[in-house]
Amino acid sequence: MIEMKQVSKRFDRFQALENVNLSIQKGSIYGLIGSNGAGKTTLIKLLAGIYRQDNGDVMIDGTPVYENIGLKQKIFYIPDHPYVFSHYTTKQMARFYKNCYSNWSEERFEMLVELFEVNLQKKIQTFSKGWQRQIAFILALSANPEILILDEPMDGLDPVVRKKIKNLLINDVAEREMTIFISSHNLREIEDICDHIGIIHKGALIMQKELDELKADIHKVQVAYRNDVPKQLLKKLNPLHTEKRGSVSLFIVRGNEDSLAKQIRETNPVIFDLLPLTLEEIFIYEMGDIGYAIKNVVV
Amino acid sequence: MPSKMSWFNKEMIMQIVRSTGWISIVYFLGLLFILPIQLMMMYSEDRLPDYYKGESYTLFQVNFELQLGLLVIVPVILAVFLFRFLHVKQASDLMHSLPLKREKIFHHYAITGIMFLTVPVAVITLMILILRNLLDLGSLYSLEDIFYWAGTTIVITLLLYTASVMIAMMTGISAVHAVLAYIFLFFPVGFVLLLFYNLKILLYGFPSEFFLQQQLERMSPITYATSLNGRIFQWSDAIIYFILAVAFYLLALLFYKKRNVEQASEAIAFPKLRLIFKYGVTFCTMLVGGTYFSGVSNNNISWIIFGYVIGAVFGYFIAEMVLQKTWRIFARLKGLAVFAAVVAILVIGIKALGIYENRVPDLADIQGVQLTNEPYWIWNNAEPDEEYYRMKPLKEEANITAVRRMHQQILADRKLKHKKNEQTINYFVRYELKNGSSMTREYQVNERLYDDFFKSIYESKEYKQATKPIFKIKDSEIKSLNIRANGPMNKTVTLSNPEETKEVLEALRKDVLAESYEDSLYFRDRGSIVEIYLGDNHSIHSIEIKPTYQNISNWLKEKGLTDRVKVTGEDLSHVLVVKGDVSNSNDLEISQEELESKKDSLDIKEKRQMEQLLDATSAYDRGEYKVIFYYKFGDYVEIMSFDEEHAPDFVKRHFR
Repeated sequence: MIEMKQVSKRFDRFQALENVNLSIQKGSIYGLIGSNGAGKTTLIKLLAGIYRQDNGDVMIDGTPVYENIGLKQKIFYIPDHPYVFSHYTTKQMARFYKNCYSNWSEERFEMLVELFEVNLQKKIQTFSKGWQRQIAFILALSANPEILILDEPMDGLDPVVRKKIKNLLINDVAEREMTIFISSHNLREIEDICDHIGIIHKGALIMQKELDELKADIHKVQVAYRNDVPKQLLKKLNPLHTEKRGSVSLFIVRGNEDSLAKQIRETNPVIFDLLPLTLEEIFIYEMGDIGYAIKNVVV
Repeated sequence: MPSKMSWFNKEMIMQIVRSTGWISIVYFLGLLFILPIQLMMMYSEDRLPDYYKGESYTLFQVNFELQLGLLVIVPVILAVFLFRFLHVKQASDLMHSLPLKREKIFHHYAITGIMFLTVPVAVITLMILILRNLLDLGSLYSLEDIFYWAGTTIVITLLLYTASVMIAMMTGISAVHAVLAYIFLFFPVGFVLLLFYNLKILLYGFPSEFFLQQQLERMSPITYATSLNGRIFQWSDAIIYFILAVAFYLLALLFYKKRNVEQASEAIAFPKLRLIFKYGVTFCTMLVGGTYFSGVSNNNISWIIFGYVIGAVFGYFIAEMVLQKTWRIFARLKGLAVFAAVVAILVIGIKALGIYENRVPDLADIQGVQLTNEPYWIWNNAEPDEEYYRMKPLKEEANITAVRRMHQQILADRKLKHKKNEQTINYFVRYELKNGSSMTREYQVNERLYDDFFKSIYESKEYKQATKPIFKIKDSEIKSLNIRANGPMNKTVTLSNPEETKEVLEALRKDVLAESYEDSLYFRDRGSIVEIYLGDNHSIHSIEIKPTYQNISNWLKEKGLTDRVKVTGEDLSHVLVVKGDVSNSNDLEISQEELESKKDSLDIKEKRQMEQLLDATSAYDRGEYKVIFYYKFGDYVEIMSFDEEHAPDFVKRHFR
């Protein structure tokens, strides 16, 4: 289990993270969404044990990460721009990682190399950006980490490769209960593989939720009445958002689907629809004012 | 598989070798061409020195400039390249995301670097040893010489390297790393020089010359290295350098553990160091500004202050530019204002209180005092003849009082402006106090203004015994004496009979004790020279026999030696005396022509009168009479002078 408690990090005059609390269960895929400069990379580097927090605790299975070699053996971090030693081939890089990570599996490495059809003898820096990223994934997965930390991993990959990698990741999560921490500036990129989502804005984690729970909990209601909308119903529903288009009213409401439907039907509307929300809509309505500020990351 | 995760990470070493091993190879090739190949070449062309010089540093004399270049550049640059991974964000992230402790990363890099520096030297040493056997160079380079070369090279490169590694931890930019490393290495010498020079400007009487007599070049390994081809690297220095290298290594590790990864690409990696850097640079450039303008403006105080201000402003802005990594920093003036205020308060405080400048110790506190214009002989230089020349402190109350009074007078006269062309001399006063401390001051004064004070000191027995080598030489040390006439002809007598040498020395001691201050100043470089050869390592002391030295003259007369050791009337063909203003030309030809063309001159051929003139003159410009001595020997001519007071009666009569 990954835990961050009241974590703050400051770079000279710039407060990158402030009082971040976060917890991730083993085997889950956690997506961190935030615009550029929101603090995603800082948070990731704290998790990976690269940065040292100013305040608070960054713990995995109850022990601090920083300079903890036993823990770092279980973590693999792929930065937003994968970096390798200059003039290193995939084979040399693999040997280097093998020397560092005790769980390295040569078998797995060979299997992945075959799957992706990588030329082992070619210098990594001469590959295209997309290829370099695939090689980074191959190396990472060969190290059999318990926690995989990915900073903007899908950037620069074509849809086919994206699919391939996503499958591999999901496979590892299912088979080995690997935990994945993944960041993105765009929710759509990762919504299909994440089961948890956290949103970071200006150095603060403004919400984190399980995706299924989110979707089940919030609805769009379209109703029309012969007269006005009954005041009592409005009070009961307490909508997050209301809109009126002609005689049709639109509410965003929270609650159980069945009980909501029952309550509304009792007021005899002329028209009544209960619709699911897209993820983007959920975030925007859930977070009220801030929701608009971060619209660009969820749409 | 814990065994695989041992302390030694082979792949990491491989990575270091792949990325920076080339420096070691270049270093090796450099040394190869500079030493073994050069030796072979010199051997084949028969240019090797043809005898054993007996100096351990002979190997440094082979292509020394190139050796020095490698010695000074390679270790610093090596550290820059090795620890570049700290300064490149992505590399730094990669290294620190790996399951490796920082200690482990550090030791791997730092020790591999040490190997890069030592292995080439070791191989070259081996090659030289082989060459020594093959080419039969045993008579030119002893085994110790070769190991001395290797050891010295390794110790100095290691010190430079570890210092540079430590600097790597302080910064986040490789270029800044290299610059800071050299600044750091030069800093002790440079800063001390600057500080001494500027304290001299600030504080009247600050003895900068005196402090500069200390072996400053030892304070920086780079300045030390520049003299490796002519001086032995002492064991004591080597041990200090080695300890420093170990200290730098450990400090580097400590700083590395404290350093935050995100400081890659920051000029200074520790926020607290930034302040020190900023104001340190401002302070140093301020001193440089002052020094420069004091030099080019002939110590004009307004220009010096201008230099300080300009220097501080420049330094402050440069430091800010480096720290902020932009040149548009001109709005950030607050720090400069604070700095200026602090400096102004300090300077005004020091000047107003005058504790340093006005201090003259109380008589009761003084144990002894030294007064000289040659700081070398106060400072404990390990010169071979030091024991004879070093001034012993004066302890008699009369002398101490006189020195104090002279010191107080100098302080009272500090507002006196020296005229142009006025001859000044640097006087050093050093008090040894009863509480064990000492106080040294240096003043640039016109000596003539203080003749009255100095006369009483000079004429005291204690002063003469404290300063003149002749009182320190033991009779038993003397191997032989030469007494030589001061003229073109070869008139020399050598005495080696202990009885005689003892008598000569005794006579000279009496004469020196009896000598007055005025006479000691007036007579210079005319009289015969006594050269005293000491038994130990052949050191020589010489002393001039002045016309006032009665005892020695009598002794020479008694022994019938006068004519054999002194210029006499017999040696001269004639003498020309001229009175009046004569341009003080250094060019003998012109001066002689000018003097000879004067109308009212006195030409003397009479022996006794010529000898009278020989005893009245001095080689220095002493007054209104100029004399030309025409020697019989060769067409030798000597131009000297004397004043009215010393003028013989027949001269006075002629020019009346």
